[in-house]
Amino acid sequence: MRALDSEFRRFLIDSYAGVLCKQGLELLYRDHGAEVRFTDRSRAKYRTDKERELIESQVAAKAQRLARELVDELESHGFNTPEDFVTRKPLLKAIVDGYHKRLIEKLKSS
Amino acid sequence: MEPTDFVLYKLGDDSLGRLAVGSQTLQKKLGTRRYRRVSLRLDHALWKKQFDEAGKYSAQIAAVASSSDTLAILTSAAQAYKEGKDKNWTKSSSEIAGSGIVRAAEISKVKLTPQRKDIVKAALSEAVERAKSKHPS
Repeated sequence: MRALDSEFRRFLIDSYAGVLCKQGLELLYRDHGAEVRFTDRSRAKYRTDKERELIESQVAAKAQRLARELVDELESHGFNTPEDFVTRKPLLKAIVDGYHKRLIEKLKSS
Repeated sequence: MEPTDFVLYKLGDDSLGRLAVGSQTLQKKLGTRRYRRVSLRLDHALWKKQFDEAGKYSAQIAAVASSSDTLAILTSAAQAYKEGKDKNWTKSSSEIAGSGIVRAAEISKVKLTPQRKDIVKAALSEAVERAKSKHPS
């Protein structure tokens, strides 16, 4: 079986992880703003830039991992070129749906 | 730097005046009770400085929240890559990213929701920028 070109693979991972990271940060700051900004419930002290950057870097790292998982799965199903994403849309949809279903189960059981 | 500045700096200026999307999708997919539980766990991880755990929840939540757009995100990324490669990465990053999104909508009929379009375009532009750095003109 042909393998995914390493540059294309990197590009897909970077793109999807980038979206997850931005979306994750947006949700984090909107829905959990106090917890991100302050060090404790009394809201007496702001977190340092370093701490907030640490939170952000963890979101980015986990987003990369999730993206890698999805791209690995696509690769194992023979998605090797940009054309495959157009010509094999039904399979792409099935893989993506399955991936999200597993993720939702993981969140539900956490 | 004030916290608000920090947030806007991290999210980019285009997020000004635009609400984050996704919580409703998440609530619908997980159910209100479970959504609250995940939300509380994330808060707890942040208070306890378990940033690794907080990062994991945030990324998973983001993946579920943007699940309806994943097909369009991946197809747009594939088309942006093709566009970049065909044009030898000479066009600007945002142009390549934009073309990828438009092309994906045209040939694959996958469309991004308007709320998430800016986020996807920004992420694609960054990925193009990294790819370009490996292909110095």
